[in-house]
Amino acid sequence: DPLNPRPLGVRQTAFNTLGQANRGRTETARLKRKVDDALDWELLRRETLATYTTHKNIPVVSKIVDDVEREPEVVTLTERARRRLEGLEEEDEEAKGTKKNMTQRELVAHLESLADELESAWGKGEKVKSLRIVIQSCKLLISCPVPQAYPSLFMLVSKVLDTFGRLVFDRIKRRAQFDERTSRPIQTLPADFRAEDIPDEAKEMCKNWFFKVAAIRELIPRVYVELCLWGCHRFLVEDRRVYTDMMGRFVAQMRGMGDPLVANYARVYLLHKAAEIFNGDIPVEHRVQCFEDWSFTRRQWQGPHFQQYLETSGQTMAEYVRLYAPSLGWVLSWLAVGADEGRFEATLALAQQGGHLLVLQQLIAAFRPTLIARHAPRLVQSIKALSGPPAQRLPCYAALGVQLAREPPAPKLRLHVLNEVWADVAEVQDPECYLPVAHAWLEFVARHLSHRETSILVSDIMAHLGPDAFTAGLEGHVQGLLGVLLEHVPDFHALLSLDPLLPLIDLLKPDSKVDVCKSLLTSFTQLGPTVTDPVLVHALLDLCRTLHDSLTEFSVEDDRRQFAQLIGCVLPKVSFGADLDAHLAFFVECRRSFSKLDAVIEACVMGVLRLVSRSLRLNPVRQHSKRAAAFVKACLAYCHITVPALADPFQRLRLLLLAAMVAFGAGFAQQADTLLHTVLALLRDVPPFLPAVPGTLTALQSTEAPLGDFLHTLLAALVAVPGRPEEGPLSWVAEVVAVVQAHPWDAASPVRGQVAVAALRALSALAQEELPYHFGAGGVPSNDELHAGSDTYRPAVEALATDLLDALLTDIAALADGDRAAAQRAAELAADLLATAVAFAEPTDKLRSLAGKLWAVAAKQPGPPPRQLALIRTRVGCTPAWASLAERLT
Amino acid sequence: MTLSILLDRHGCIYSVGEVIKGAIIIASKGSMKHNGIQLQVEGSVALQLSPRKVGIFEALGGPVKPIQLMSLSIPLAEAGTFSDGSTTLPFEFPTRTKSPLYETYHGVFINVQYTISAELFRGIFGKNERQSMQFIIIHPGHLRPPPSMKPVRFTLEPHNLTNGKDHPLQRVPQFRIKGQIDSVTCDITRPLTGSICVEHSDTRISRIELQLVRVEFCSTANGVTKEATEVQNIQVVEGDVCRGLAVPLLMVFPRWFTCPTVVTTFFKIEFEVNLVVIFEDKHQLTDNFPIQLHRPATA
Amino acid sequence: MLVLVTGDLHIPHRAADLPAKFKKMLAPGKIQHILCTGNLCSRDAENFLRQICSDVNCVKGDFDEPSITKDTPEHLVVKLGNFRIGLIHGHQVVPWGDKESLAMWQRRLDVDVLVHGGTHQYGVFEAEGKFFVNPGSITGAFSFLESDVVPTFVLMDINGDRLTNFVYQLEGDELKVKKKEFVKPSASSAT
Repeated sequence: DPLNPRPLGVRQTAFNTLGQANRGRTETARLKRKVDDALDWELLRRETLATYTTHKNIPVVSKIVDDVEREPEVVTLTERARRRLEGLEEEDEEAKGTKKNMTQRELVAHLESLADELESAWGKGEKVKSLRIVIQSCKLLISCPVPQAYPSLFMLVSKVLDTFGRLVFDRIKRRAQFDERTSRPIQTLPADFRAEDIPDEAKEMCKNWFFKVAAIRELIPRVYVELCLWGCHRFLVEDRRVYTDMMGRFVAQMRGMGDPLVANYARVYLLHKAAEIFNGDIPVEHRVQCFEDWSFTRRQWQGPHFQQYLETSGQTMAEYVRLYAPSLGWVLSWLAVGADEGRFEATLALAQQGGHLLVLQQLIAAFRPTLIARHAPRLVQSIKALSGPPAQRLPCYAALGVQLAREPPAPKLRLHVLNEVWADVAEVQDPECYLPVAHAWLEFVARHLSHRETSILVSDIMAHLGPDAFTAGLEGHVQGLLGVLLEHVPDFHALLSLDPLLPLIDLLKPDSKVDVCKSLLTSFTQLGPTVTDPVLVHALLDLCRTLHDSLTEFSVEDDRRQFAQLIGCVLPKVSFGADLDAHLAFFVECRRSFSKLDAVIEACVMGVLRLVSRSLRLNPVRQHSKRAAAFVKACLAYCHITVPALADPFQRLRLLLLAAMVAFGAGFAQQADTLLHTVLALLRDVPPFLPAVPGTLTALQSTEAPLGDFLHTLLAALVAVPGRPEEGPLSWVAEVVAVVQAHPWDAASPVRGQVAVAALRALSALAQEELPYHFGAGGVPSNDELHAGSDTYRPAVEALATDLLDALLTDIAALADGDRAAAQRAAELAADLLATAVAFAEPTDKLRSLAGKLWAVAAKQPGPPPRQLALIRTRVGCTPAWASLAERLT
Repeated sequence: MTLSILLDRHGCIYSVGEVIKGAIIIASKGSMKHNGIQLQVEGSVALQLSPRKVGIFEALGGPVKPIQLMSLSIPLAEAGTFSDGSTTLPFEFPTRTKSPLYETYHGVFINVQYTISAELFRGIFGKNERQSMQFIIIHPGHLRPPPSMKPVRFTLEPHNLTNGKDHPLQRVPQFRIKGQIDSVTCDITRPLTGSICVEHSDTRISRIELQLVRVEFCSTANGVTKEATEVQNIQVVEGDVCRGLAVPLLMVFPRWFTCPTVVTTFFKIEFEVNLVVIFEDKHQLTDNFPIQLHRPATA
Repeated sequence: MLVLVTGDLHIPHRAADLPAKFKKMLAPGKIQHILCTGNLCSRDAENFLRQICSDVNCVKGDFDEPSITKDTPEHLVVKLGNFRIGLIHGHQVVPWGDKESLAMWQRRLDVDVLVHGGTHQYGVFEAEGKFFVNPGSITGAFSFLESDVVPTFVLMDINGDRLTNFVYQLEGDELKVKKKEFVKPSASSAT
C-alpha cells in the first residue's frame, strides 16, 4: 500500500544493501546521519515524495498564464463589495478557469513544466510572467482537496520556489557585478559579500522585488514567495537582528493559514529557508514557536467541521495525522538542534498533551539519542499511557529502538526497557506492524545486549513470521533483519549458530536469498578463523548449497564464477581437527553438493590433497600404519574419481598430475602410476580445438598454447618420477615423446618444436648422475637412486635423446625450406636447440658439427640476427668445452 | 544625433530641498549646428478625469486646471556647433520653491508629478529634438507624527455591528473577533502592523483581508468632492483560522500609489484601512480605520 | 625503493591465508612495488596484494584460473631503478629451477634480474653478472615435490645500481631473514 507510510524512524533503505563491501560505507553513513540526517532536506524531499502518493485525481488549474503586465486595476469600494458578494474574488482569470483533474504523475509533470517555463520566461527577461508562474504554483498549496498528496505536492512546489529564489538572487548579484547600461564589469563579489559592496542600482532592483511581492494579494503565495526571496535581503542588510525579526514575523504569519496541515508545511519551508539564512543557527525561540503554534492549532482537530472534512476527504483520523509526519519531523528536528534537558522536557510535555502517538514518535526520532536514552523508561511509559491497541504504538517503539541502537540507556536499564517494550510488541501478530519494530530493536539488542537476548529476539521474530504470515511485502524487513545481524553480531560463529537464522533466510524469495547467502558467506570468508563446530559447518554448507542450487543452465557466467569463488573460499576454512576421515567425508559430500561448479570441485580435490600431506605429517616417514595408508589411498581414489568429471581437459590434466605427484611424494607409487597413466590417456585425447569456456557453447580456441604449457610442466615433473618397473626407467618420458609426436599439431605451430627441446633438456637432466630434484621425505626414489651404476640407463637416455634430436632436426630442415614464416620458426628452434646443446651436452664431434649447422639455420633468419643469437655466441665462447666452436659461429 | 538626460541618482528620487544634479548628453555623428538647448523643469498636481469612469468629476463639467508647483527654465547652451562625438552639458537646480512641493503620487484622480525636459532647437529647417523624464520628489518629515503611537483596539461582535443593512441581523452568526492596529499614524516606509484573533465564531471563516483605501478630495466650485478607491488588498487569514490564535496584520505600503497624507486648500489625499472578515456563508464584516501616513525625516 | 617479490600463494586451495606474522609485516604503505610470480589462485589473494600496494606486476601461473587471469601475461619485464627485471612463473622451465634454462629465459627477456617461482623453494644465485631470484611460496603451499614447504618471500631494496635482497623465512614460528647484495655490473665492464 503506497499510501501507508513507513515509520520515519526506521530507514530500511540503509539495510537493503547487504554485503561486506558496503559495511564500511554504511557505518560512515550512519555516523554522518547522526549529525545531520534529520536536517537533510534532500532526504526529506525524497522520502516524502516516495511516501505520500495517491491514486486519486487532484484538481489543478492548468492553464498557463499570459505574460501581459496589467495596469493596476482601480476598484472602488462598492465594486469590491459587489465582487465579494458574487464570489468573484479571484483576481486572476486563470484561477477562475476550469480545473483539470490530474493524476499524481500528471501533477509532477505539470510542475516540472511550470519550472521549465519559469526558467525559459526568466531567460527571456519576462520577469512578471516568471512571478506569475511562481504564484500559480503556490496557489496549489492553498488548499488540499486531496490531502493524501499534500506533503508531496508541497515538496514539488518548494522546488519551483527554490528555483525562483535562486534566479532572482543571481540576477541581482549579476547586477551588482556588471553595469548593464555601460556594459562594464563593476566588481567580482566574493561568496561572503557584504551589503555595503552592493551598488545602489542592485539594491534598488532588490527593493523593487520586495515591493512587488509584498503586494501579492493572497496570503499563502505571498508568504511563500517572500520566503523564497528572503535570501535576497543580503543585498541590503546583514544585521542578524533584522533577520531574527523577520523570522518572528514569518512564524506569526503561518498562524493566518487556517488549515493546520497547510500551516505546518509552510513552517517546513520557513525552516528550510531559515537554515540557509542563518547558516544552520536558527534563533531558538522561533524554532520552539513553530512547534508551539502547531501544538496550539491541534485543537482544530476537535470541531464538528473537522469530522466532516475527514469524511469528505475519505480518511481516517490516523491516516490524516500521518500526513503531518514529514512536517512534524522537520519542525521537531530543528527544535531538537542543540536542545538541552529543559527544552526536551517542555517539548515532551507539549507532545503528550494532544495524545497523538505520531507526535511522540517524531519527537523520539528528532532529539539527540543521548537525551532519548536517558529518558527511555519514561518515554516507554508515555507511549504506553496513550490509548489505543498496541499495534498503534509500534511506530513509536520503532523510533525508540532506532535511537537506542545508536545510544543505549545505562546498562542496568537496557533489559528493563526491552522487556517493557516487548510486553507490548510481542502481542502484535501482524508482521507488517511487528517487523519494523523488531528490525529497530534487533539492532539495539545485537549491539548493546548479549548474544542470549539476540537469540531470544530472533526466536520471537521467527514465531511472528510463520510461513503463513510471511508475504512478499515483508521481504525488505527480513533483509533488514539479516543485515542487522550481519553487521552487529560480533562473532560470526555466534551468528551462524542462531537456530532460526536459516529458516529466516528461507523465507526470502530466491533472488534475495541468494544475495543474503552471498553476504553471509563473504563476511565469513573474510573473518579468518576456521570452523570446526559441526552445527556451523552444516549451516555453512546449507548457505553454499543455496547458492549452488540457484544456478541453472541460464545463469550468467559471472554468477557461476562468483559463487564458485565464494564456495571455493569457504570450504578450505572448514576443519575437522585431527579427524581426517570426517574431513574426507566432508569433501565427498561437497562433491555431491557442488557438482555444477568445476572450480569448487577443484577446491575439493585440492582440499583432499592437503589432507594427504597432513596425513603424512601426522605419520612419520615410510611408516604408514595400515589405517593411514588406507586413508591416503582413499584420498587418491577420491581424486581419481572426481577429476574426470571436470569439463576443462587442462584442469583435469593439472589436477591429475598434481595428484600423481602427491602420491609419489607420499610413497604410493602404484596409485601414482595409475594417476599418471590417466594423465597420458587424457593427453592423447586432447583435441586441437576446444571451446573458449570449457563446457559451454563458445567459440573454439586452439589448444596448442595450454597443451605446450602443460607438457613443459609434465616434462619437468617427470625428471623426478621413476619409470614403471616393468617398462623401464624412461617409460614416462618416452610415452610423452610419443604423444607429442602423434599429436596433430598445426604445421605452423612452434609448440611442437619447443616441447621437443624441453624434452631434450629433461633427458639431459635425467642423464646426470644426480638428478636436480627428488620427492621430499617419504616419497618414492627417483631414477638416479634406482638406476645408479646401471650400464643400460645412460645409453637408454642417449638413445631416446638421439631419436628426439633426429626428429627435431628433420623438422627444422623441413621448416627451413618452407616459406618465410616457416624459415623464421626454423631459425628460432635452431637457436633454442643450439642454446640447449651448449648448456646441457658434452661437446662431441657429432654435436659440434650439429651446432655449426644449427647456427647456419639460425643465422639465416631474415633480417639482422637477433640479440639472442649474439648472446648464444658469447655463451659458447665462455664455455671452455665449446670454446673452439665459437670462431665458426659467425 | 541622440539627446539624453541623466540624473545623478539611481531611481531619481529626491527629497524636498535637495539639489538635483544631472547632465544632458548629446551624441552626434559629425559636427552639428544648433540654436541652443533649453532645460525645462515642471511640477504639477493634475486632477485627471478617468475616461473609463463615469463618476462625480464628470458632473463638474470641463477639465480641472492643473496646479503648478514648480516651473524652471534653464538655458544650457547658446546657439553654436556640437563637435563630433559626445557632448556633456551638466546642470543643477534646487528643489525649493515658494509654494510647498508635494510628494510624487499616482492616484486615480489626483497625480503629482515632476518632469525634466530638454529641448534642442534646430532652427527653422530642423526638427527640434526633445527628451523628457520624470523625477520623484519625496518630503521626509513634512508631517510630524504625533508624540505617541497608540494602538487602536477593536472588538467585532454582532451587537456592535453598524452596517448590516444588506443582511437581516438575525442571520448574522455569533462571533467575537478582537484585535488591534498598532498605530493609525503610520510611517510610509514601514508596514502597517497589528494583530487579530478570532476568539469565537459559529460560522467558518473564509478569509480576512486588509484593504488599503485612498480617499481623494477635490475642492471645486460646487464644493468638495470625494472618491474612495482601493489601493491594495492584502489577505492576512486564509481559511478557517484557529480560534484563539493571534494572527499578525501586516501590510507594506506600495510605492508611488501611496504618499504621506496631503491636505491642501485644493485637494486632499487621505488613506484608510478596512479590515474585512469574510465568512464561508458570504457574510462579511468590515471595520474601518482612518490612518495618517507620514514620511519620517531621515536621520 | 622497496619491492615485494612473492608468488605461489595458492589461496584458498592449498592455504587458507598468509601466515599471520607475514601479514602483520606487510602493512600497506611500506612497499612501492610488488612483483608476483603467479599462482595467486583467487581474487581474494589478488586483492590482498593490491591492498599492500597498488602497483602489482603479476604473471600467470599454471594453477591460476584462466577466467581471472585472462589479461595476465606469461612473462613480464619491469624496469625498477636501473634494473630490468624479468618475471616468469617458472613451471615452464624444464627442469624446474634449472640454472641453464633460467639463463635462457634471462637472455630471451634480456634482463638484469630474473624473478621466477613455481617450485615453492626460495633460491637466489648470481650468474654471469645476472641475478636470479625465486621467492618461494609466501603461504607455504605444498608443491609438486614437497608437502612441507617453508613459507618465504623476498623484499628487494633497489637503489640505483644496487639491489639488496632480503628473504624472510618462517620455520615453525621462527622468522629468519637473510640478506644478499647484488650490484649491477656497469655496462662498460660487461663488454
